[in-house]
Amino acid sequence: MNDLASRVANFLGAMLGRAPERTPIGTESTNVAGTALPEFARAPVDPSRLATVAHPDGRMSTYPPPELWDDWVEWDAKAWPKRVPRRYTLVPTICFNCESACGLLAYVDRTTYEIRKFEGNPAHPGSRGRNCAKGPATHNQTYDPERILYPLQRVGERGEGKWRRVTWEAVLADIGAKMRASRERRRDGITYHVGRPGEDHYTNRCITAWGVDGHNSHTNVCSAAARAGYAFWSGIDRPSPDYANARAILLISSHLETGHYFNPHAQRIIEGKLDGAKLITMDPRLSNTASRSDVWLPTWPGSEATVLLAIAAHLIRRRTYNREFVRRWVNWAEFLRSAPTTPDMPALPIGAGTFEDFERCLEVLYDEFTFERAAAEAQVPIERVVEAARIVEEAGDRLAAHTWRAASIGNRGGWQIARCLFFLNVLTGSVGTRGGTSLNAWNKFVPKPFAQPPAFNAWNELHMPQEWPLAFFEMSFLLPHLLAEGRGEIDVYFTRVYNPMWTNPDGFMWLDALRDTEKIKLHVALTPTWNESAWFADYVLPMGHAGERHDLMSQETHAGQWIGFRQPVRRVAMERAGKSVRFTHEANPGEVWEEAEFWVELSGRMDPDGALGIRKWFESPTRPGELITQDEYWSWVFDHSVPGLPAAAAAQGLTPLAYMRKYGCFEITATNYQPYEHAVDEGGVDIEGVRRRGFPTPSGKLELFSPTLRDWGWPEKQYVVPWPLRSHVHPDEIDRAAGEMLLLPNFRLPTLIHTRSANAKWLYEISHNNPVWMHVSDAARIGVQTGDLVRVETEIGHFVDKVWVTEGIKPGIIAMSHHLGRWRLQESGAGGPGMSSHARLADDGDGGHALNILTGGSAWKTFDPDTSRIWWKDVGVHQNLTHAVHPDPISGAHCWLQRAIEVRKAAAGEHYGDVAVDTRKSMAVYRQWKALTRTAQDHSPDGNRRPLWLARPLKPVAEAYRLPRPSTPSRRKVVG
Amino acid sequence: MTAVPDATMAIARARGYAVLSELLLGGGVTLDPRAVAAIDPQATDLDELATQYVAAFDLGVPPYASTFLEPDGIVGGSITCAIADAIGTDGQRPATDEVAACHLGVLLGHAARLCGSGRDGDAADFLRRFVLPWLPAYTAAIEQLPAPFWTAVVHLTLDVVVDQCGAESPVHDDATSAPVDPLADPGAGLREVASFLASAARCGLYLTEPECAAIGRALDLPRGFGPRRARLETLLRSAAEYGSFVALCDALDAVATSRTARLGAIARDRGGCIDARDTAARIAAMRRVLATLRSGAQHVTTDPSTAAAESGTPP
Repeated sequence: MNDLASRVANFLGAMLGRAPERTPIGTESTNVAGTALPEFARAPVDPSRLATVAHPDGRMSTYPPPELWDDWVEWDAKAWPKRVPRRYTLVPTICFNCESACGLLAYVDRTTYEIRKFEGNPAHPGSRGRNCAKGPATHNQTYDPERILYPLQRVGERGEGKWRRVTWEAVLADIGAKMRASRERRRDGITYHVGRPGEDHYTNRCITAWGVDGHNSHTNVCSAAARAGYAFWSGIDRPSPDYANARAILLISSHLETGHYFNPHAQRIIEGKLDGAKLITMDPRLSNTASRSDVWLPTWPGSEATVLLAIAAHLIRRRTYNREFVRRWVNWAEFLRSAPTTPDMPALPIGAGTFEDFERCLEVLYDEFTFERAAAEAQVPIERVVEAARIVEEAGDRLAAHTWRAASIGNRGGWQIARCLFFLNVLTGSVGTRGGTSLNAWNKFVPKPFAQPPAFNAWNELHMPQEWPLAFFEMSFLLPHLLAEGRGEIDVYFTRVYNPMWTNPDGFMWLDALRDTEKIKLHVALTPTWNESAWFADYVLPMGHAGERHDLMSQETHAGQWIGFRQPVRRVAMERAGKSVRFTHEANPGEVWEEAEFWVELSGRMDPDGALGIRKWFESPTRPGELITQDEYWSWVFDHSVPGLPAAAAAQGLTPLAYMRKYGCFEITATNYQPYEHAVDEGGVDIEGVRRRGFPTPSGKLELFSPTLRDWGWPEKQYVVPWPLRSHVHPDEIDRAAGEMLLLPNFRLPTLIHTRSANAKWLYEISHNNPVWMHVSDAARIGVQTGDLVRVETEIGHFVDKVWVTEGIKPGIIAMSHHLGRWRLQESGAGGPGMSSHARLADDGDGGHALNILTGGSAWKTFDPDTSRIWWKDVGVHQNLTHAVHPDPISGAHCWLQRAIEVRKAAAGEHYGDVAVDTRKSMAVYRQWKALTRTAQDHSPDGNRRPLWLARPLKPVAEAYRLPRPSTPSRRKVVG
Repeated sequence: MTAVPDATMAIARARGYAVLSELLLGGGVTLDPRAVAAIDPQATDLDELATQYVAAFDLGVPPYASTFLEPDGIVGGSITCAIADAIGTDGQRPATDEVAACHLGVLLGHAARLCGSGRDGDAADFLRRFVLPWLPAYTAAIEQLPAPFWTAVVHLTLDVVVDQCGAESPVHDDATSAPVDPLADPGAGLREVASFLASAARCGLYLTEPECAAIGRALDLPRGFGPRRARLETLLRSAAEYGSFVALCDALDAVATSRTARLGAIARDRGGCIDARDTAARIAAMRRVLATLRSGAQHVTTDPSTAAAESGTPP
């Protein structure tokens, strides 16, 4: 043996006697999202065979069985025809790309911890292993070359586009200090403006713990009107149709079914149809759902309530409604008591006040709603209205009906459309029945955390101004207008997965507000992706996509109850492998974090010594003085707050947390029909001598007659009972002879994710532009063909877009999908060039604003060769900028439908994507609508700002509801 | 070790590389006494070893492949990326919070992992590609530093690497391009010469700070401050201005001569498993450059009246 061999032998021989070393590298995993294409390790063993899982309802039958999820091997599809095995650990999570919370399974490479794909989670009770295009596209978002990977702080002026990378610690210290300073001065200086909540209680608990009235949701541009309609009936603001078991399915438009809740709802609608259910859809647009309906009613927007009441009158006249249900559960006695003093109420045969008298009154009251009237107002053939009535009548108590956005959020008074729709459920007795329509509180489960902070004692007038005491909920889309009126300023403004300038109407008002560092002193954008509003933030903080965060969700996808656990899948996979991860940003791409941990750490910095009484709510229940970890938080929830979960976990030898980490979901109950009938010992409502749970309304019953509306300044018949309200786009308001049209701007495509689609090239490849739908007769009148440019003038400005000529839209109406028309102000570094236009902003300093496209979508070169394959240029037009705000005087909803004052062929010099707006007109329209309100100051019956029983996302203490005395400046109102 | 079964050898190598990697990555901050003892049972003063670590690696010769393989010696360039890519392809991400992927400790750590997973051949390929081309020159350089323990660590590293890689066939010590003559450009000045001398990839050796300091002290020349290249340039200018340029060239040539000899000894000591001809060729090229400079300087010194007309300033 020579010297070299001898030395090596000595050394390596000594090594053999040692315990294995921790390899200094090799404990680290790859994490290339946003910087490189992922690599996957070759598995050393043959793949397992895909197990066949038999399901009685015919759903997909092959999935990796859960017992193999920890170590799953399959051939690499992309390596075909080579047989390359890959070895994964399968980690369940919850999709974040709409609100329906479908289950996903992340295939995480066991060696590199890169994510290979997201597929459906067969254990998930809501989605049942299926996903729409948005679910698998999570992978596209994760590895998006344009990701924001690190916390960024503004350098220079807002909107200048200059950023510097900062540490999370610096972020926490600075924002925490500013929040503390604000909280020490007042309780309405911090605003959390949420777009996609993606969870059910966690952040609200944080805001409550801060002791501020800080929650500001996007609800008023989304579901406010429908919520109001359902809540005035039942005290619960959201429906939950049992489509799979229905005999009739009645949809006002199909926003959720075609778009938002597409996956869980659509699969159950198909099941219902396969079982013989009939589908009725009201929509002026031939949507995918409408095209598959048994009866399509292309109603003129705003006429839906009349059609629904014609069906109701048909049931009433023929006494084919569920008389027993109505007698037991409707507040008909209140109706009879109040009717004589109700303004505009016709003379009714009230008699002795018996139920039979009520029935006679009902017939008289709704007698004017004939099929003929409905057909005329809706501009649809009467035969279709009759057919719809026949189907509803035959369905009995198996009528699954739904409205969420569409007509209810489109029209002034749209909340009454929801109210009239639920009237059919009430009449047919299909409330909470099998195949009927439940309410979301029955089909959604929100567990309690380990400690709940008390309600705060504050009222934020910028969120809940006195003009809209019945709004559902915060008037968030009016924030710029309220700021412009000098009603207040914001110390710390969080936008959370939200792009208010782009999403809301009147975006240039938002632009002015976001630029104003006096009005919005600190803007923190918590976002997974670049967006137009984040460009005007002071901090841009990268937050995770579906596989990069902890959240707990539950949605009313069907008649059962379940919870779904969103998880940072790389972190979970690494922890399965025995690796220690303290914060999720250590496992996520770059330094992408999650709100759940961020809020805890931020709250700790906000109140480091506990002097504000905030810190204690974020401390571990088992490690006094230490901030709580996600494992601790969710362990407590799953151990103590989810019925049945501990037992189910124990049956598998798991802790509840381990169970949820393994399966990602838990079904609490498969069915939950008619819970209002449950007998209770306390509370509830007396029904024929038995106390039953009833409904969370003041009467405990379903309120056909709303004393709340009567008492809060809306006593007329057309408000207190289901009744049509005249829309701002009623045919009489649209002068079609003069060239006016109705712009329907709020339908969506099922493959888009609000403003986050622009970070998913796969989705944009499916749909990337939003042309103006126009009927052939209107196109002929204007002289345009498909592909021509049209200029659409609204109340406050105009835009230019291409036209798509089709029979699939009602004459007199033009329609554009939202979610498209994204733009960026910088050629690169502000979003994918393939999914947004490079644009230029201009303003004249006097309210005149313009947006012009410099270049459309284009291919761009990154580590991902897919970005070089962009074949489209037309990425849509940002129409919302030209929409005036239309706050409904009761629900507070922004009524999305717009009066198109002129629609004409674009002239020379007018280019695709041009947008121009005069914000002086914006304020004028805002004031017109504000003048329609009946304020709490003038109409509150009890000195409160809002009925105590009505929901708010976060309710303050009762004392905070008291209206301020006139001498007290309301914007500075701090109670307690 | 040839009689040892392959699997056993793989385990031994995995553990050996892991120990060396851990020492090289953490030696300045945390030292595992067991790992130290595996190299030198007599080395028990861990504080002293940590001090040596700073002298050897932080202030001495950076243990990065890029320092020896990149023409400009900058870490984070194509060599670093190539190594990170190679490690990433194998499913790992280098722990680069503190050091770059081309750090010797990272490279050995990856080799440890490959050997530990039974991929001895892949480990050898990796080492042959990214370690062996520069480790002999590195070893010769670090010998100049007052860090005997760490010099032993590097020597042992070279032993183990050569033992694994050299068994199949002799390996070349440098795969970079042909030597470059900085004087080929008529416009080249002392700055370009300093850049050449500062580049281990070009001149074949890494001029350590102690070596330069010793030369400066011996010739009574200031070296200034700043990056190594700037200090070399200052040394050259000082020598030119103070009439010591010929002596400086001689001193540098002596370093080159000595280093060539050490390189040869290191190769011989590994039983011919290292082919250091490429490095030797570069050092030889460096010596030619020094000779040219020396000649020019002699000419200037001999006849200053004509020097200005012919060459203006010292080359």
